[in-house]
Amino acid sequence: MRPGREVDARPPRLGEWILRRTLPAGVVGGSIKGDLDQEFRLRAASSGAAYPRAWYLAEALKLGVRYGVHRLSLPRRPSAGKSRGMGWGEMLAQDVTQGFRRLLRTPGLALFAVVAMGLGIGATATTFSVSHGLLRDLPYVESDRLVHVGWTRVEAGDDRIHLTASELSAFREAQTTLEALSAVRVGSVDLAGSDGPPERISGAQVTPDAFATLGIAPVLGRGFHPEEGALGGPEVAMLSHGLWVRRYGGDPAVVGRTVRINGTERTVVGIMPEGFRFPELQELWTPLQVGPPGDAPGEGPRAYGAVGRLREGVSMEEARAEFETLARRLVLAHPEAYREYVPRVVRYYEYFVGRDAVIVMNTLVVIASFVLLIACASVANLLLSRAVARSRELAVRSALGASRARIMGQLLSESLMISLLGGVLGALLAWGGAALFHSAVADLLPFYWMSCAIDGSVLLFVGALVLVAGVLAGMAPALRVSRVGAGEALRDGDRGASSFRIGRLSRGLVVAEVTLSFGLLATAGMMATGPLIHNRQDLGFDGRWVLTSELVLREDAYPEEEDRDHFFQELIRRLESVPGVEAATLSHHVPGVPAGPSRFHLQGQTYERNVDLPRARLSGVTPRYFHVLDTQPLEGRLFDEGDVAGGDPVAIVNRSFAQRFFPGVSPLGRQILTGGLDAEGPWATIVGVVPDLGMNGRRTELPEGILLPLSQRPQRSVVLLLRASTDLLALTPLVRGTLAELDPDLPLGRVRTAQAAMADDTRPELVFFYLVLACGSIALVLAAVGLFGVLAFSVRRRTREIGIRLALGAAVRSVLWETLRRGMTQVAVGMAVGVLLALGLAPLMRGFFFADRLVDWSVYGVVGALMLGTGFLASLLPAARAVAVSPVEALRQE
Amino acid sequence: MPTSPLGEFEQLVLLAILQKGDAAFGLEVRTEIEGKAHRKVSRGAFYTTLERLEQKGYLAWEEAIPEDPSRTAPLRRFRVTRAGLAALRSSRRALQALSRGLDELLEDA
Repeated sequence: MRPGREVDARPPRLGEWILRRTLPAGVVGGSIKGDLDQEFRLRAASSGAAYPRAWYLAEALKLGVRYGVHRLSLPRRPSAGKSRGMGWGEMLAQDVTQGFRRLLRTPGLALFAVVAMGLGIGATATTFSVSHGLLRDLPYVESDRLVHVGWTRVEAGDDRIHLTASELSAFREAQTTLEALSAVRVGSVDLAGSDGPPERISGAQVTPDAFATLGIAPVLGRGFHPEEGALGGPEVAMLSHGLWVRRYGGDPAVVGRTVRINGTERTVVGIMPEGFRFPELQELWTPLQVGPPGDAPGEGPRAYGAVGRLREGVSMEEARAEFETLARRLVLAHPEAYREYVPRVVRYYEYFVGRDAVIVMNTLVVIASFVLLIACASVANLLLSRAVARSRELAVRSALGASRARIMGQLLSESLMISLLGGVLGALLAWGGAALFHSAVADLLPFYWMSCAIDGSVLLFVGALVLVAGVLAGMAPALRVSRVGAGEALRDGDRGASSFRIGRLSRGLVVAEVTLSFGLLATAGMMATGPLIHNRQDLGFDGRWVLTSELVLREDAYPEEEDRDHFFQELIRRLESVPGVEAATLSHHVPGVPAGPSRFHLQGQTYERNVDLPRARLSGVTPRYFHVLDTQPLEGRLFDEGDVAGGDPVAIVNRSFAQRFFPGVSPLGRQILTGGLDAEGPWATIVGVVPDLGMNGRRTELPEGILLPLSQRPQRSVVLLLRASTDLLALTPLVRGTLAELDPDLPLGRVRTAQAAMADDTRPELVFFYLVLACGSIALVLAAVGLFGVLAFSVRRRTREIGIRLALGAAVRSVLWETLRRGMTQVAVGMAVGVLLALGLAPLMRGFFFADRLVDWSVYGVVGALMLGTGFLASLLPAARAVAVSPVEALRQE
Repeated sequence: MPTSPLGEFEQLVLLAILQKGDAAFGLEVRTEIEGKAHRKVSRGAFYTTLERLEQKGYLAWEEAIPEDPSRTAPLRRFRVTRAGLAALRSSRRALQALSRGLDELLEDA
């Protein structure tokens, strides 16, 4: 050691820490560390400290890993081992280290296997976290004791029918199985006051006992008192935490203050906890005042959602039986009003989430697990081809006494290693995927408690996937190879019986891969047809330049039709004078978003039953509507200022309507009557035909549409449409200002372009489409690589045979063709089974299909062509390699 | 006394300990193998082999006083036990028996 060069010769602390944690205690560990320290000092003395410090850390890490494994593997007693003194722990450790080394020896293969596994696990974990997030339990105290009480109309297939006020009163009075039967009535409220501009928010009236039923108490102030639920009780309100923070800056003094809600002054009495909304996204609550039953039980609006908490010790069945008895009394007293009605008492969770959603989400998880299965098949295939290459070595080992379990353990440890690394990758992918999904649908989720993210249960799920996938991928090769008798493998070389059997197995795996990817891609295609086709189709207007917002006039402020009509006319007149606004109009629907369907009568036809009536989408529009959309009539005329409330009833139909109901003839002058069987006149005369104008949104179902003059079908709820020459969204404040001049309490709804509204309308389906598409594409890539692998392997195995055939004068084309044929046969068989798979999936996924049919053969055709093309490419390279074999080379090969 | 056969690396370790005699400390033994057998010896493999040989009863160690005063960590001096020697001999016999008559083949060119 040269003096004077002694730079900071201290080993790095991290290194020392690692050694302390891993080396044995006492002299043994101390001396090992001492040796390392000594070497470090020598190095530091000759080259300065920086590099030796890095070296020390690396050595400490290596030593730590090695010692960690070694210590795990030590048998408890020295004599406990088998013939060579090895305990099961040491065997395991050896298997793992050897598996790891073998993986590193073929890094390309290892990388592919890990990525394949990662994609499979990632896809499955992503869909699982989506499904888990959407099917989450309700966030109420002991929510499994909460039940929903309502009706089902069996024939109509409607099982979400609420109670009328009088039914609610009757049930509340008589029931005994629930602690309380609370009720909620949802509606938008206009919130105004000195604290900001008027705002339209979603609110609800609740019985004073509702929050106690849920088990949630306010964080500030108090809940409703029972007397506030009596008719004529005090005017009070409660706010959600979010609304309180957003509008009132979280000021505690808001409690006790007065705000104007729907034109009524109400005192705020309490703030609910952060995150709480009820029953869906509602943020403001007023007491529901249930009076003594006035109407007959079956009459009046069915607006009261009833929720109760089972009494301690009372079962769901007992509650159901009681409500059936109560309902029977009503049915007996009013048989006419309750025809088809059956009481429905279900868990509150089931009422919200519904069985269909559970089925659909589980289907998605199953679909994604297909991708994992494909990944397992690919990895199994790779391991198989490598295991075959090692079959001679394994045979020797088994001849030397290695047990079959030991050999299988080795092969399995390799696949487990792959699935473990794949699991890490997959968890990362799922983390990103779930976040992406959540941000895509966050503002569309109907219930505040739904959120998709990686949590403990998702990680647990990933852990289970890792185990299952590792065993799945390793089992087939392990079983296959370890079964091959030693003699056979040694005699066999690289060809012959054993490898033939293995070839059949891996061909089967490729077929399975093709099947699954076809099934997934065809399903994704079915999910996409609607939006993709309609994206390209000319809607008949350009949605980028149309601004939309909703307006709802309160009944108390505008009681008469004339009041509303006057207000609307004045609003349009003023808006059209705003600089930048080219035209303004009102409509019952946003163009490009489906308008509500209605039944109607065609002149000259008679109908026996309601269901015999034809259906079309129906909307009311003002004359300026066509100007805003910049549409010209295809036939006849558009609405004009003469089409007013008292004028002749007129209608305009769209192109699809004309083609469907008046094929080959002009619909002009014909008459239609909208409404059900009991609809009464007046009949409206068709005066024009216009393009489809996206009345069915981007769905393919029911494109036929009828437009009526808005003033001949007045409603309190309308959509405001603007066409502008300047930046649309910049107009929003001007529009808001104009509205405030007319009615300071009337809030403007959500402002967005028609195109944005269309996109929002189809977003949930599109998001799920992308999910399935991603799964399908991963599957396709894996299948292609799998096919390539199998063919390349078989070509390599048959190099000698091919060489001989070429040497004997076989045509290059026939050799090429044979390899291609092998590949394409597997693809064809896989596709045939894939069609069956897709057909089986269709009914489960129909909720996501835009088209109203389950099978679209053109979609299947496109997917099939894609698969064939991919299969062809995957087979081409091995085929080319086969004919490139030089006979001399081939013969020299052993 | 039945002895389990020695692995190749185990043989190298035992031989190196014998070579170093009284100076058979960890670092020295490892350097000896690296120098004479011309191969890189992984630290982890080296110490775990020492431990395994000790468990089999083929070597023993005692704590030694380091000559270098700057060394504060403990130091182990290794020695080959009787059983270790016996195992080495039996390995050598097997090697010799199998190499007999192959001198021409095995001789360095």
